[in-house]
Amino acid sequence: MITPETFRTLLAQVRQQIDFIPSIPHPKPHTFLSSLLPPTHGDELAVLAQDSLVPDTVSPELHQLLDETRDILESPAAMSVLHILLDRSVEEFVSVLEAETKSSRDGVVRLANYLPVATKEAEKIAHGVPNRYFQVLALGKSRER
Amino acid sequence: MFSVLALYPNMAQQILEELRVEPILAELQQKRVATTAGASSVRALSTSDEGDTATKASMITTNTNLDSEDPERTVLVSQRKSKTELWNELKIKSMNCRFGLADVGLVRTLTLIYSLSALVLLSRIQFNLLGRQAYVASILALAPESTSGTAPAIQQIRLREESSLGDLELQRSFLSFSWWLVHRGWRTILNRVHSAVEDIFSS
Repeated sequence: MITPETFRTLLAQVRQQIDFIPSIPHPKPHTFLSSLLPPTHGDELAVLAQDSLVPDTVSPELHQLLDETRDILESPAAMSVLHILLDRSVEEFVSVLEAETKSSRDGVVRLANYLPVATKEAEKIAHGVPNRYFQVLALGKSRER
Repeated sequence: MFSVLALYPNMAQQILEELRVEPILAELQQKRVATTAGASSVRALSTSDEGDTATKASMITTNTNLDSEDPERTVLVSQRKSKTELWNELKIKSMNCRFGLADVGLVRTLTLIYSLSALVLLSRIQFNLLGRQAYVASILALAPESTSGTAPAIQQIRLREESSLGDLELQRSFLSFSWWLVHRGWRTILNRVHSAVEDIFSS
């Protein structure tokens, strides 16, 4: 059994662990760089091999663009933007969970009760038309109540 | 942002396939239907206040419409015994998943959210860089052709930009790199989300 407030606190701890790397004196943001772009030259070639309409080598111009993209992705500004995007979309998800999961009279919820709502919401995030999460992220629209 | 809408469903589908909970819920549904076979419409409701919240989690409504003349019939099923059976069933089923049942829904939803946010960020950066390149090229195209009076730095930029001016191949190559996140990168996101959810929610 869990209260919605406890769930939010736990989720914030999950976010902290995903988004940051422990470091002294301050935790460092995790950049997700190897998730966003291929980490090795071999991986880069593997990406280019997927598209038959592009050359299968990394030209100097392409190399420069990729380097620039990596620099931006690792910048504090990009980290701030990513955290804002995550704040918005996680808040959207939690507000749906809280609105649609029934709690008992004393305000507590079984953790397992979130499962069906989370499952339904996952489908909406993946295939929703129009996609509310995309609207929240790309267009800055907030949830209509 | 059109590219995000075009790419995301593919990635999302892979994430959903990786962490399928539907078969578990379908199994639950089948079991529920089996316990009330013959009803044209089956609705399992809890009659107990105390068990209400837990029951809602496993409440499945099935409307088979086999006999349209019958008004929808609601069958109240005592949940006390079958609920335990069903959740045990769910636990056994979830052994087939890579992750435990308790956090599988949360892991997959958070992975979808992180992947979508990452794709939005990556696409914006890609288009900003290509847009800047096109902008510089267009400004240089408007500049006088003569290079005699132009500063060397501008000449250098012009040379560099001319080589890629209208270079759709370069643009296409650069944009094709979102393939990595859509087909590979989300897995490392999933692993990171999973270990965090497991650490926090199991402690």
